[in-house]
Amino acid sequence: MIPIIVNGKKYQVDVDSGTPLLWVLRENLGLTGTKFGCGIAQCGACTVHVDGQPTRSCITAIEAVKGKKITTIEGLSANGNHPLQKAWIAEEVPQCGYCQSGQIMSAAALLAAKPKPSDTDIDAAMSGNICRCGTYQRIRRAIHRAAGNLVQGGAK
Amino acid sequence: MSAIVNLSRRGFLKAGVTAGGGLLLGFHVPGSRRVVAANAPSAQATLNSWIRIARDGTVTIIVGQSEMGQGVMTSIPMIIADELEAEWAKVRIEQAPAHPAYGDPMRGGEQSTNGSRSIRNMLTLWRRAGAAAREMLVTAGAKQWGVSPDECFAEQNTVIHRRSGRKLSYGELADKAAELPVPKEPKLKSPDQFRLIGKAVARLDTPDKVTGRGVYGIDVNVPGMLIATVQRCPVFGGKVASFDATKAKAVKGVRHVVQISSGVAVVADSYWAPKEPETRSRSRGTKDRTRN
Repeated sequence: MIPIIVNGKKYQVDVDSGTPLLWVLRENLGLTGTKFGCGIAQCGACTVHVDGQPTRSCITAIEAVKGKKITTIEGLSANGNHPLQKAWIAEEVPQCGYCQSGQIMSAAALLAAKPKPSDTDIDAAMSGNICRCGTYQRIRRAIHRAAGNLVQGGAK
Repeated sequence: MSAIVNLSRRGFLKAGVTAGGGLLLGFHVPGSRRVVAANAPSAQATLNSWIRIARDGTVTIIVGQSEMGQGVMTSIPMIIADELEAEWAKVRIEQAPAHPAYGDPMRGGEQSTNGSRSIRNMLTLWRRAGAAAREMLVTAGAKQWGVSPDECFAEQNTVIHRRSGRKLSYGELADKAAELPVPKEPKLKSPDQFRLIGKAVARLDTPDKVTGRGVYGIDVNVPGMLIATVQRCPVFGGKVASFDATKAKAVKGVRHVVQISSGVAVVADSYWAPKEPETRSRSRGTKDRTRN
């Protein structure tokens, strides 16, 4: 049994110590908002927070997060009302939406560390999250909107 | 995108009170008993979607197409809701199951989503579905007041008697409307009457996609489900020469290891078990060397 804390709740999970956090979230806890994309930390779809740090859950062994605070997209806000979630809706960011949980979790970690990011900050923080629909410009606009920055048109 | 409905065909064709206490307007355009000939996309063809109106006025539109980011979970409801004169804020969406009722008559009844064909082929069918429902609601209202349906009209989830100004909501009328015959030739709106078609409307599926609630194929879980992961030959055209499943089967959660035409399938209780490096390395020895 391995103790973990997910979205403020304590769990004991009965899995091998090397099982990736992603599959514990999805299969043991039923939190399917976190997505499996590549399985090798190259796409960002599985991003969650571990003690506030954006982390690729697909390559993070469960024993490495024993007792740590994990936040998933389901726990980012109580009612889907995190400023980023509201901004994502306002800017109509998602198309297929598969990568967006990971995008939002990366963006949330960015804003926590840097409340008023520049385009360069955003590009640097978000470069590990791939979107096959190509929603990058709207992602950037939504982050600016959530940060209260003037929306810069999403150009560049 | 939340729930995936799974009604039997019988359930689809019948109108009646739903389990939840609301009303299922499970009507269909006449002639839709079977998916009709490929050259008959017009008025008499299949209704490929259906509408549920709850007593609280919530209008649920069930979408038979697949959402891939192109917006079809919003565009189809827009079309149906416009002709229905549904109040957009009360429209909800549901994903339909795979079912012949959702087939595209222009494609021989096939239910698939590709080639930008959904709206091109089926716009008129969906408009007729919405218009037929609207006329049934208007007729239900007229009956209740003892007046002619010609004296009444529908506007934003409400049926109104023109002369007296009396009103009844769709929620109040849904039960009665479902008992009425489906109009054979519902009158479609003229384009200047459109409220939604041709307008920019916020997508209905966005909230689910920013909260993790959206259900994708990989998120579906049914009781007793096993997961098959396929180990394919790393070389194009390679075939399985032989494999030894003993060690893979020893991995916790692995149930079966079977050869299939494209490789070896590891069937397990979870996605992770067959992906475990141990399992992977043990089944890697199965690849064909004769053709490499």
